[in-house]
Amino acid sequence: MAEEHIIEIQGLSKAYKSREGRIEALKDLNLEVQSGEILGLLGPNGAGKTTAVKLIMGFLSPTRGRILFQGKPLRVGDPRRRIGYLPESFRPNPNLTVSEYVRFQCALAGDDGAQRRERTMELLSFVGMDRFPKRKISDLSKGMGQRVGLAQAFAGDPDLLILDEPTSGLDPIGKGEIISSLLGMKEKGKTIFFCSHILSEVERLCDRIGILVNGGLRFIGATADFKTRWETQDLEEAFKREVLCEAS
Amino acid sequence: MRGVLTISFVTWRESIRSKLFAGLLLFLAVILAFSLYISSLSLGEVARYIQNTGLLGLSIVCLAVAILFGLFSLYQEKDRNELYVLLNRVPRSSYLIGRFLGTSYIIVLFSLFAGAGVFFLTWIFGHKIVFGLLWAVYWSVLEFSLLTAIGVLFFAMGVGFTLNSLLVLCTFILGHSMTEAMQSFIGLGRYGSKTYLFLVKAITVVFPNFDLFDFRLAILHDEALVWGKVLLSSGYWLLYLVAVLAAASAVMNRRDT
Repeated sequence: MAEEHIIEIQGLSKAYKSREGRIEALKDLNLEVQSGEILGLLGPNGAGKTTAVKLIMGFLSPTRGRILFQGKPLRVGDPRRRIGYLPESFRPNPNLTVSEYVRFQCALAGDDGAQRRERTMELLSFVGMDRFPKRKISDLSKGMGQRVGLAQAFAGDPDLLILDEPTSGLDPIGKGEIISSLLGMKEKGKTIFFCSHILSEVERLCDRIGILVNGGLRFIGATADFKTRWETQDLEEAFKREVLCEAS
Repeated sequence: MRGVLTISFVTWRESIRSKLFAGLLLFLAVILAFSLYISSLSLGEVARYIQNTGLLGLSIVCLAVAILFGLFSLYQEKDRNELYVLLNRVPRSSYLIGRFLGTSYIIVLFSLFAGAGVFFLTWIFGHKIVFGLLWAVYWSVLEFSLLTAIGVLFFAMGVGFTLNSLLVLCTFILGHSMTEAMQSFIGLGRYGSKTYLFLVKAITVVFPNFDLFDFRLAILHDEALVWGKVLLSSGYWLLYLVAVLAAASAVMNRRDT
């Protein structure tokens, strides 16, 4: 039923013109994200994951297709205030402190004065950064910066979180902390849509996965079903077979 | 509106904390000190030399603010992918106007510092109180905020930072040659058609005419301000600014980011 889908992607395509001709970055993507689930979009580099996310976020205009959020069509260029977003390779403003940055994002998300302060501390505590509110962002490690990024994505209490490679470049401890935060969000009933090519975290986190190869969606469903499809217990092996099958 | 003010406030905050801000303040202090040195070499023209060099310093510093704070920070924000986070929360027009406003606050601050510096040096060492210097601050804010808006328009059009800086610099130089260019072209077309003259005048209005904000000579020669000209220049600035920012918003709304 339409009410259960927080986001519906219908026939979404994106083509670019380049010197080598027309490049189809995304081909006829059809996908629904159900409320309360964690959906991971998997794919090798250049598969079209970031293009898909940028289309959902309205930063790119689709060549064809449309996106519905809570049943209403999303327009290109409009802000998505009910969607929290963490882009790939995100680095927050280095001239602000941790709390200033999150407070700034809470202000943009519509929180008022006292509420903003309270919410900032709540978010910092949630991502384990409440011990460093006064630290300048330029002095943070990459993992800490990513946690600040995650905190800003939660500002405004969004219904859906879209995270593009949230653990890329992090050490195992940093990755573990981010995954714990995401599981915590899921427990709060939030819907999470994220892109990754790190299979272990996808397996640990996701209710369903989508496999995107060369701009086309090859599979959508539970991780177990995907492994059964390739008759293996190893997600990495199944993923490799899917990608190589496409390549051959 | 709230988004615009929040972004402008953060632009202000991050700017005053950057090392560049301190560097420009130091540069301004050096220029003011240099103006004193130059004036000491003059023969009885101390006040004029201080004003001339000091106002030149004000222009250089405000040009640097427009390019380095107004534009470079936009490109840095894009490189850090922070632009996408902001555009997820506020409309593109609010983002551009917020950034523009934040940079304008810094231009106001530097213009005030420079104007006050020149005013006091002229008073103390030149034994002359020149209230016209307050107007120099006003004109400087109009001129360099408009230049920042033009840079923001180029950013919205997807022009890269280096080319944008060059275009802004060219706009600044050409914008200060407008009156002269108009006179030359009108001279050339003295025996030409009315359409030719209309086109020449139209170009000098459509292309930013910074000569309308150049009151330095009037200040240096202690000339009284003509209020009609002040109103005309301020109105031109307002119309031009609104048109440039509206164009920047419209272009950015249509482009893939």
